[in-house]
Amino acid sequence: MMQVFLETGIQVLGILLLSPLIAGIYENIKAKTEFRKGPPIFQLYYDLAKYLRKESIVSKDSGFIHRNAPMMVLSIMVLLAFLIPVQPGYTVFAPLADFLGGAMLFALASVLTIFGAIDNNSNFTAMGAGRSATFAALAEPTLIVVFFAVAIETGTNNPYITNADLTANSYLFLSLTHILASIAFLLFFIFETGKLPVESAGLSELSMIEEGRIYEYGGKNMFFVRYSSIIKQYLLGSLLLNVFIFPWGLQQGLIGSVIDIPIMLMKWLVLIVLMVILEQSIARIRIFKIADFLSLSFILSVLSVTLFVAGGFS
Amino acid sequence: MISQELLDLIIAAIILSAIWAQLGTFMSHKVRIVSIQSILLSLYIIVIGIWGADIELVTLGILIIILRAFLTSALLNSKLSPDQFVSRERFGDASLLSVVSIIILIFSFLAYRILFTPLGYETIGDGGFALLFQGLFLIGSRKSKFSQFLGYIEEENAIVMLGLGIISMPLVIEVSVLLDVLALLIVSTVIISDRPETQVFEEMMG
Repeated sequence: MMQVFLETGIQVLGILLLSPLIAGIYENIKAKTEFRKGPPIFQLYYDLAKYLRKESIVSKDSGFIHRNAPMMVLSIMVLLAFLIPVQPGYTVFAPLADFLGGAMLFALASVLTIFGAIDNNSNFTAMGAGRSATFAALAEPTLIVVFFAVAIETGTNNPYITNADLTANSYLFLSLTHILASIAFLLFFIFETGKLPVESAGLSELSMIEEGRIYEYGGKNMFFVRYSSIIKQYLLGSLLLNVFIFPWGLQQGLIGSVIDIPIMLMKWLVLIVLMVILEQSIARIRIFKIADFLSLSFILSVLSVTLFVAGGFS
Repeated sequence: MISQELLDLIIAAIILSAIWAQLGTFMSHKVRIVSIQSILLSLYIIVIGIWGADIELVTLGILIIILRAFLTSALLNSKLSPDQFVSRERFGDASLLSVVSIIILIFSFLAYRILFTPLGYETIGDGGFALLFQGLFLIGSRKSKFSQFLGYIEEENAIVMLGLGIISMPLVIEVSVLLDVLALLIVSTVIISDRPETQVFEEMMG
């Protein structure tokens, strides 16, 4: 039992500590491909520390949800850190966790962020929230159907068992159902983390979605918002890597869970390079075309389930 | 035996509430009717949970009351005008809708009897099956986003009713809460779309 607690602690600490580094490496590599020097890979740690030192200032028109949503969202992300299989050893909450619970928590975080953005009575954040709500209503069903796809192909809806099944049975990994579900989840990942071709948040363009929702936050609230966004990216990316694209390589046991941290870093480096190549190769699509992008993702996920049911498993 | 009749009465009341929601004109009334429908469903679930000493069923019933009957309805009501004539829905022929509604109801009962009863599913399933079609008809026959959203809530109730007789309880609870969270996401879309700032859609183009 003590080993489970220790493994859980290592996983959660690994997520909390590694996620800003991953985001920092991503920004740095992206800048290098644009022939810029770019921020140092530890820049996000400095930024988070800066936000934490500052005082939170909120508009007098803002309400309870706006003031408290960032903390609630960060709490949800930390809870999710216990549930997502970043390492193969079961965490304390692993038996309680399944894909639907994870999808529910991601959706809840999204809802809270949107309500927080509406609740400060700013037109600009309401615009961001409006876009976010419109597209999230299309994106969340994709997440659920993709999770159904991996659940039916492995016969379980627990992500830890799914990861173990996929590692042990390569034929599952190479099935058409899994390939289509993986592509659908990759598209969902691109949308949720605000990457091109959906969003180019770094430039603060008029078509911003994620950045538009959090314009009124500052200080400690900004810390909660930024940190939860970084953790969310890490969790979704880890899910993409460990359940969909490359489930192999993770080590079991207490020592294994420590070794898993650099292994995850290596996996992430590959994903970051892939994402940067993707980002540099394609232009941003128009904002109303994002619905088409998400529709494609949804259709692929439905197709993966349909193919499984129709016998296109092998 | 009386208890089973009571449960059947609740199921009948749920289906009647779906037809009532189909024919209602005032939005605030329709929100209230669907809220009552959710309360009836939770009442059904809590009663069978207490009789069967099943804490999971009681939990599900309480969650439905809190999330679906009160929270979602309160959010929708907050966006409706206090003057019920302002938020009044104009639709086609009410008598035609009522006839179609009843035909769909009969069709759904017959379809359930032919397709599912031989497989041995419980009787609550036919109520859920009928409600599923009523919700779909509500979504399909209306242009108002409020009505369509109420249709979505009816679909949620139908899925819970169907699930009670078919799949394991923890999954029903999980799916129910997940659908409620998705409903909140849709409610937020409805709320934002009513804000005048976001009505000039040209400004949103990139």
